[in-house]
Amino acid sequence: MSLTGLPLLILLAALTVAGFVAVVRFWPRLAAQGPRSLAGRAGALAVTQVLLLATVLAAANNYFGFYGSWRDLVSVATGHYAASAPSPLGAAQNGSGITINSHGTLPIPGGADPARGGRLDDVTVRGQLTGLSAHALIYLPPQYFQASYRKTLFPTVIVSSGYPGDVTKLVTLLRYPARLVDGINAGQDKPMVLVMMSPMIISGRDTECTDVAGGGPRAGEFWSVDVTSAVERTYRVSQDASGWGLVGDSTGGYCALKLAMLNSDRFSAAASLSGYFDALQDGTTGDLYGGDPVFRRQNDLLWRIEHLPSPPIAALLTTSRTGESNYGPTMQFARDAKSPMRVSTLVRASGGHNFNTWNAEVPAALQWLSSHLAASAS
Amino acid sequence: MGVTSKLFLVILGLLALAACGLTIWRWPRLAGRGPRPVAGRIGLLLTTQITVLLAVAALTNDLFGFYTSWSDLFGVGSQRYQLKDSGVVRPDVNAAQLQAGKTATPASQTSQSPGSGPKATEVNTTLVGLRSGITAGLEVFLPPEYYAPADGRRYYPAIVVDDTSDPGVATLSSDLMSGKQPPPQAVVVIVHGDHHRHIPCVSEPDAASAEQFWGQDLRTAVADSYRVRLSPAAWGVMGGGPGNGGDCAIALALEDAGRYSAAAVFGRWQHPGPPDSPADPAWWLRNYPAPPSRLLFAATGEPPQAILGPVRPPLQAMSAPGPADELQTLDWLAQTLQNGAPQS
Repeated sequence: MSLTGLPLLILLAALTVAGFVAVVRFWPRLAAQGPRSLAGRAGALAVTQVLLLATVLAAANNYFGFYGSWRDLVSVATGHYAASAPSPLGAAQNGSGITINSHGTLPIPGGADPARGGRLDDVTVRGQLTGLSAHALIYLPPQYFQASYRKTLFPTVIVSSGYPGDVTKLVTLLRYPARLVDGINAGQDKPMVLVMMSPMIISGRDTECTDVAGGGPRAGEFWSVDVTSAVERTYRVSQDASGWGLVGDSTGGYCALKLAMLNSDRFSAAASLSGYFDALQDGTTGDLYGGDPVFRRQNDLLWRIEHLPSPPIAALLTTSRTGESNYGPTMQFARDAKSPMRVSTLVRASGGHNFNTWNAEVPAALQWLSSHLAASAS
Repeated sequence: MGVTSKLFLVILGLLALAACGLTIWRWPRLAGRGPRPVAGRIGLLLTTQITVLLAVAALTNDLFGFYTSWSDLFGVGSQRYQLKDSGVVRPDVNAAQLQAGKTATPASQTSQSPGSGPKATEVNTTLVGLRSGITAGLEVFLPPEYYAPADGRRYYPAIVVDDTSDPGVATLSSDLMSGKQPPPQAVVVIVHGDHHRHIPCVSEPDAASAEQFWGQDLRTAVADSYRVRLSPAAWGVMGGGPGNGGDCAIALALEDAGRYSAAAVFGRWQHPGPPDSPADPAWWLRNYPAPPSRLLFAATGEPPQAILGPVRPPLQAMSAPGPADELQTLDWLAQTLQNGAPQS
């Protein structure tokens, strides 16, 4: 049974109600004096409570899309993260590295016609250099299918969810594609291709988009080189850094900013929504830096901006004065950034680390990316 | 009382505990038959469940910092924001890494002495790495046809020659300019350390700035100044001599195969670092998929398998027995590379 979706939710809800009814029905059996009855009451309360919490958690997971599969959840719970095994010959990928699993459309008026609503491709990206692979949703805007744009190489944005986060929520909850269409129709946004992914490219693991030390998965290389080159080979998109950008919330924001800073020959703009700057390491990341303080520091974006040359990219950093813990670091980053880097900021008076905030910021981020990325002609 | 205030959390926690305690304590009182005890059970159980759930939710929210105010929680807060747009990066930053005034001075092609073939054009310039902060002296050799009007739109592959270790490729520069052999059909860039200072390679401890230098600063500066595309298919790297230029070339084609697709080494191979360390190309190939790069080992004294371990496709490794000739090695690279034109 899938972790997400109605069947599990209905089962859990039914069990919760059944547990509740059973406790009310068999209440008198635990009414006696003595330690056994007391323990029985506590146990009955605990069981009903656990069932209720499980139902609420499953519902929250369904809505916010933290974990997409049992495998993700088990990996996090046990701390054993298995990378999708690289093919032993490293050569099995003929062609582009992108397998299209299905074509979809957006549930918007006229959305069934690609020239009006664009197309949503469900794909698997296989990295030629890293051997990693990931599920991605690629949105092609309506203009991609219009004759007057036949020769346009579209600007392209990699969109990352937070951690934990499921890629489908970028479409259904944060609604990047629908908001892009709104922005294009309002004359605020350029037509852009969106490549949507989750930082969980290794089931359950938070790699922080790092080339993990000691022979670990090269997640940074996967995002910056494997994904960009596979998309360039498959779709009519820009092949120049001036046409490539990144956006993400939370961990996705850290990833967006770090990938652009470290690969400014491939990306020219990054929007970090409520992103942090420090080189995180905890139970969900596992050992990322191999115990090497120098390597860890190189993944600390505040350290980089203070001590290393600032890369030639534009960045948009969002925060709020109350409700976000990244206000101070964001202002510090903006202050320490040197030319040629350009740091724009979006500051709200209040707002926490949640989907209300990101829902309010996504249209602004898309518009900012539009004005910082360029299409090119083929 | 804020949604994350200590007082609020403590009150919720106490309420939950009290509800649990009350339920367990009062349990026997509600064990009777009839609608009133049953309603009492339902009410008490519901109260326990809701108070515990609220306490857990509030603690979780506080731990992860999702919602920090009531208006945020209920989505009724102001959605207004202030956006300060600092604009875009100047488009010429990559080309500007090459110091101005020295980049576009083609030597006269009319002064060929009889008996010698067409000569390359040599440009001496200094690269100040935008991302790495590393400064390097560059000798850029353009093919004889580079400035011919008919050739004006032709793109060339680029070959980087690592001459940052001492002594390096002493004679290559004069060989290229002598006109004894036709120069390779590629833009050849000999990289010298600033004041003969060694420039680290991607396999060395200061790898972060090295990656930025070899992979990005050097490539973007050349591609934005000459007719060279950034595609890895257009980029090769050569090293040799008794220094460590050779293993740097190999390391680039293995570890940064998204930017360099070919490498050539000439002269005796020296193992970089201890075997089975990340600096060893065999270690890299044991741990990661083989990249689609092409490697040439010219007169290295060892077969490629002795250096790399088993060579799996799509990686290709070839060896050429000595004596090593720098120009021949360059030619091999020029032929194995493409000009990086998009495949259509």
